[in-house]
Amino acid sequence: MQSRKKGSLILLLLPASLIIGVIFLLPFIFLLVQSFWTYESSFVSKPVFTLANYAKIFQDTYYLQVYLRTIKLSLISTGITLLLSYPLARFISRLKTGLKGFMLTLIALPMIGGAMIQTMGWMAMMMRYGMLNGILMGLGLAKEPVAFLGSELGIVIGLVQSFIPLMVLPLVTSLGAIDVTLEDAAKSLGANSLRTFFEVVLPLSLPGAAAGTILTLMMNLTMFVTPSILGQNKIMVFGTIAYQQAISVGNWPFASAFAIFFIMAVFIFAMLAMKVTSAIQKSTKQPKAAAKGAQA
Amino acid sequence: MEKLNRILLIIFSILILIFVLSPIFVLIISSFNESRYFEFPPTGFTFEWYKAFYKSEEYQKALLISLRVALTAAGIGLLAGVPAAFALDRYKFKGNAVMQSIFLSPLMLPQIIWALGLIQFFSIVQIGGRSILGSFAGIVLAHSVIILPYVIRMVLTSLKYVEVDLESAAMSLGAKPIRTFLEVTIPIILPGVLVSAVFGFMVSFTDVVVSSFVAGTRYITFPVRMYSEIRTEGLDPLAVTVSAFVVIFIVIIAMIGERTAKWSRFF
Repeated sequence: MQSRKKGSLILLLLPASLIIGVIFLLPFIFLLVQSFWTYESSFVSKPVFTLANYAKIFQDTYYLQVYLRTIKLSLISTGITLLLSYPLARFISRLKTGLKGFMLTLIALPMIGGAMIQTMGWMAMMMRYGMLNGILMGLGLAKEPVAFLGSELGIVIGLVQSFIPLMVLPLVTSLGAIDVTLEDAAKSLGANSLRTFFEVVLPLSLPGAAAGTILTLMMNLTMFVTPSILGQNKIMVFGTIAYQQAISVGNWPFASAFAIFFIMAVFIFAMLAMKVTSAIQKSTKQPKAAAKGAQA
Repeated sequence: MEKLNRILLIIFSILILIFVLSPIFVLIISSFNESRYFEFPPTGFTFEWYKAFYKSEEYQKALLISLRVALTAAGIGLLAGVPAAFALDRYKFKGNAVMQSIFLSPLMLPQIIWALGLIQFFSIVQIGGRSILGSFAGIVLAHSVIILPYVIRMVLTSLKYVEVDLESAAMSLGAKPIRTFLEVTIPIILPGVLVSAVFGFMVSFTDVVVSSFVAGTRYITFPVRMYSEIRTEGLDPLAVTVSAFVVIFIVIIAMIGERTAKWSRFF
């Protein structure tokens, strides 16, 4: 009986393990190995060990600037996304079930629609005589059309919009799990809504905020379609260079080294971020306990 | 004061919602806009672009390729994902949690970095003397990886709604595990399975990052066609109209999904 159970367990897990193991995990090994191979010509490399691909990243400041620009744009976009998502998530988390589902469905539309559809919409809006400039000039906020396309501003706008859903969903989950009586307790003890928010709601929703922030940051750091289309090839970031090197130039060894170096940096960054959040969480445990005490 | 805060929160939330949905609105508005240059306010109402879409074999072909890829990949995602989710939920074994996070990891790890490795791997795998890179099988396998974690996560969520008691009741009444699974478990988790299938289909249908890496010249899906066209020729009303058509389709599916299966609880 025991071995039959084990057999069926293996059988149930086998197809998914094969797909994830072979198609998802194995390619990372190829990536790592290729990054040490020698580039010969377009789409041709030979298995001779070299560190030249990594050295190329540091040869001049161009690639380092690309990394820095990517990190800068990602941090700005993620920060704005978090700021805009919090109130919206708070609003949605307090809605009645039916309306809440409807709102979540609307919010998730960009996620399902995919990067291409969002970017096309933004491109139409950001055209010289498109909607954004139409509104700005109509309101008298701009005298001449603003060049959104090909600017960092345009990319940030596109990124923030694309990733609000990724931030809102985990936030709604963690905000929705907060007991309303906790807030009432804080208020009945004389805390105004601002203080209630900062001392009760915010600390309790940190896990959701952390999950959303890390995911959004990851997506921003490896963005590709948005900067490629809205940046009009004027603003190069990690994703656009990686695509260019891999698909147009065909220098797989360098593309691999460029990606591995970046992902390593990102992981160290993420680890640090997680350490910081858990430290913050520890230091804000007290208000939660106080509110619980007040409730009792 | 309390009331004012509440009103401000509502206004702010509605503004953000409009911002998030603005590209979708604009695509739909632009598809009926007479102006070639996406002028705002629109210069006039027209069905011209939809007529052009109806005649455009190229775009219809791209949509059909996307449809074939998405249907096949979603099928594979279901066949692999549903049993895996069931095993992860019902069997206690060593490494369960680790396995679960590995299965869900494609949701977290950057697609573009994986895609870089994937083209290198695909370039040496051959079926019938041809590299799998740029083949139908290659795209479908790549897409099944993006679909699988969604299926596993959503089915895991729906399995949480099934009471194990129901299953043991069926079995104590003499039903074999297989029959219990087919007649008790499946009907209860069916909404989750269907939602994950639809969601997986959409994720594949609209994917551009992975597809633009693995797509060769023979199987160019609709988003990849859009991407390369916009990059070389800029935005044109026909491309916008095809996207608007897809968006309208997605909105309808999303609304049906929410009304019939309350699909937002699986997100």
